[in-house]
Amino acid sequence: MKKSDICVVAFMYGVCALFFSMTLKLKPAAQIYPKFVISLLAVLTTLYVIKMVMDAKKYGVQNGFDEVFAGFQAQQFFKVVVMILAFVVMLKVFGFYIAAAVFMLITLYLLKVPKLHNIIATVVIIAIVYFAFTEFLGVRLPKGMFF
Amino acid sequence: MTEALTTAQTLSLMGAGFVNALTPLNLLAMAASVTLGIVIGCLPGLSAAMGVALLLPMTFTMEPATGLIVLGGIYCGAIFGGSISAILIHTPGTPASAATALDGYQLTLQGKAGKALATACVSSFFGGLLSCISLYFFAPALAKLAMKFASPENFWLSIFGLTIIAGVSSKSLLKGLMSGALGLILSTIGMDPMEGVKRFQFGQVALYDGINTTCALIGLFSMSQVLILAEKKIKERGNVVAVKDRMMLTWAEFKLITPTILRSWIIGNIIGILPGAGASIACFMGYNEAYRFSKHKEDFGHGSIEGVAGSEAANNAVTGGSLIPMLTLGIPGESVTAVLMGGLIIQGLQPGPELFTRYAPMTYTFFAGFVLIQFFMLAIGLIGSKGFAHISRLSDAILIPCVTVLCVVGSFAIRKNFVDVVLMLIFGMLGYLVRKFDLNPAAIVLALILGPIGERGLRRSLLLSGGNPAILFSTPLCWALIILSVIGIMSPMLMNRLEKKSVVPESPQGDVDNRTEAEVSE
Amino acid sequence: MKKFFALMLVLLLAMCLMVGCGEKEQEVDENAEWAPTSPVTVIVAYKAGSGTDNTARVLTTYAEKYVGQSLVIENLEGGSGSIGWTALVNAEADGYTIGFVNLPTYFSNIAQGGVDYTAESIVPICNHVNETSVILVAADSPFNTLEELVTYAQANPGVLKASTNGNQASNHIGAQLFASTAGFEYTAIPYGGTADQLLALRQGEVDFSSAKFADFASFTSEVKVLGVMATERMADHPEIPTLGELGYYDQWYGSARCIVAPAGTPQNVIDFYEAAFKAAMEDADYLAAATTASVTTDYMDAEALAGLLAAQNTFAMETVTALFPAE
Repeated sequence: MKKSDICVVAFMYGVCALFFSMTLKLKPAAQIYPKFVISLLAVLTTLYVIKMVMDAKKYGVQNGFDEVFAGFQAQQFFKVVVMILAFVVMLKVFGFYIAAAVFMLITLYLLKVPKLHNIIATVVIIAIVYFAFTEFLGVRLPKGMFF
Repeated sequence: MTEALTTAQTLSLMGAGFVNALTPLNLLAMAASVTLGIVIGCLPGLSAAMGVALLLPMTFTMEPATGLIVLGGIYCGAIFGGSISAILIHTPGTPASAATALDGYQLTLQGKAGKALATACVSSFFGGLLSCISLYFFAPALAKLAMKFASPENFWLSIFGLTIIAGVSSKSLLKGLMSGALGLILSTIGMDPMEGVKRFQFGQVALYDGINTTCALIGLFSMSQVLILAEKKIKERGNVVAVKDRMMLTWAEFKLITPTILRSWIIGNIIGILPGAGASIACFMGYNEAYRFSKHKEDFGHGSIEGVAGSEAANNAVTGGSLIPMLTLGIPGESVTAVLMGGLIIQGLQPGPELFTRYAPMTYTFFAGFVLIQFFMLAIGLIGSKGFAHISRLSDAILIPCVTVLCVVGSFAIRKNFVDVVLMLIFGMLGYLVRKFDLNPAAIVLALILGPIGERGLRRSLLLSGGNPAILFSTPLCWALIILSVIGIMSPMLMNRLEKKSVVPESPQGDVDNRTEAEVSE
Repeated sequence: MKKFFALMLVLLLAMCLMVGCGEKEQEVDENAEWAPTSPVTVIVAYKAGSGTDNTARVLTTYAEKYVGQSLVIENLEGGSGSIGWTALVNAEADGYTIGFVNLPTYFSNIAQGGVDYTAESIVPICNHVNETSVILVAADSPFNTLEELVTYAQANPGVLKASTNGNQASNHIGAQLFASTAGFEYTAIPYGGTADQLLALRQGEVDFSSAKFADFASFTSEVKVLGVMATERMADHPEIPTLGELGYYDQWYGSARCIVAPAGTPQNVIDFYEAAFKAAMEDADYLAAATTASVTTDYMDAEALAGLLAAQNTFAMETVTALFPAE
């Protein structure tokens, strides 16, 4: 068995517990179906736990984490995640076009893309979004303080 | 009341339809609308339904047949277009191409993006073309079949659809089923359809109708891909285009995918006539059946053109099929045909028998146009794919922010709602973790789509019968679906056993019964 | 590094300047004659291809020339209209966003609670469509008159099934009004919308349903209409009795679709649209198109609409809540 699978199992049980506690607040007739699908997940997860235990006896315990996170570039990854979250926040505050431009320029810079490619990519993407969504579909993209 | 036409009259009308469809205006309309459709399809978040709804007002000033041809062109183009981004950046442009991403992207990583795109194009062409045959000749029979799908049948259909999870679960059956069950739980978020009470909405009005599946799909497939690219060393893929990558398929490859295309045609056509199911289910079913009958199972998940063909032929076969109940019975199968039907009604054309008698010339011109659209799609698709294939040479570093921006805009554009963007990101994180820990994102999507269909079918059936489960076993169609579902679940295990007897197995598709993950090589 | 940030700052400013000049602040002078100077958004709270969307599109196509600018339909579906109407009432009250509101659904949503809008959140412009509800059965149903159905239902409580377009949605209210005044019990089976509801009727899954003529215009041969919920027989269908004649619900019940603007929209804006849509609904081309598309136009000016809205509000708060006793 893999230790990393313990995380999977824990997550699944967690989901079951969360939804079950919310289900109890519904009226009785509406509880039946949610309880059914929650127990389905719980049963399947338990079957998996049994399998994990049986495998542990047969083949021993492996640390799955080294496989799962092989070659994990932590700095790069978290920089990207932070930028994505910043983008979404900027979206609400500054509106789409500013947020997208800032996001693209900074992220591409952090990922060490040559400056020329950086600018071209930013312009191209913004152009695509503008023509496809604003002009063609008339989607009113989030407007922030400026526009 | 006009009488039904004789066969001779009908055939001559069909012929006349082609003549009418070949006017310069119509041909121009076809080319333009297919191109537009392909562009719409390949941008994640832009769906065929959106594009069709947008061009709908423009068609009011046109002849009804031309207007329908334009809308049909967008529809077919978009369903094919989704495969382009699915293959190149693992980002299904429309939900209909979700299964194409599975093997299509693997082909791109091997430098065979051109081949994958050509396969998708050719398969889409044949899927659409063959579905036109049903449109012309089997419409009444298929329409009758559509009428037979009531609540119990819908329930078993969703069960059958969920058995596909067993099929697309590559590494571990149990994990695949767990993913599916997770998807089922997530599909309960929203208004309870029978009781009218809110379930699990976390206080968000936007979740009233549940999690939008397109939004979840963008997150699970595309955003998760961004995160996966972000965690690994950046690959400069400029030189990875294989020397042997050609746009056209070799004759041998074509023969390989022919049975898949024929199977997917039937699957897509039948899924198309059923309300609610649609191309997103058809692509998975086509993919799964291609896997089941393939002699090269080991390629699946690692770049099998049969997988791409199975998925793309099925989703384009849906286009012709979905028109049938809409035109004959006024039952719109899914969102695009609903808009098409609106277009018809606004032009004063009521769906029903009159379309085939009094308005037959218009209808058959439209059908002929629909056939010709497939050819345009093939041509434009192949030409365009050459250019598109170069996108696969973009560095991962450029793809990361570009795909992110498209995902964010796309998920926002679905309902002009910021909550969907947040949901998409949540699903992106979930998808990333799911893929890292060997769970199955496709299973989650399938369960999200099929869960509500199944739940409504089950609960409505029980409500109709006053709680008596016998209603679920009451018609021959129910039993047919039950048998198909049983076969669906059993077949991976059966196939594995059969293979074991003939060959010493080295199947990476894990067999739960006898092997464990410790044995299966990653 | 410095150079890069400088470049970015310049780009940022440039973009601000370029695009920032785009959106003009829409100022409305309350006393002058008003007309829009850029495209107007019309919010439709249902998806493209639905009944509401179709009727809206027929009108906006012909109304554009009277409004003078293009009318862009924005479909914001979900939540039985709540999502679209929430967006409508929260939009700027500058005359560039108007929308279609469905009655009684707008008010029944309020009565059921949990929505962010009230009767005061909108300002009436005019009414567009009025459709009377009818009771229908499948063509092969054993019931040929309403009385036969009622007799059977009274003798077999709960056996008869009716399909509705959703729990406590408009067609459920219709069926409930019928059943409560005729004194029988039935089982209501909710479906996802009117199309699905009528499909179930055609498939024989349920016994009767409440809907409007436009909803089944494509397949009138597959259904029989047993009664109309109006105060007098309909001119187009004089052979169908009203429910009131037979001693059941004797008021009008049906759905209306009206055009409204967010609260706070100035009066001259309202007057402009009222006049524009009135002209559109009298336009010959529009009337021809409306007939072919089975749209039953019923123009009501802003004042009359205000009366209708108030009546519907009362109807929802009193009658509808009484129909569905809380559990």
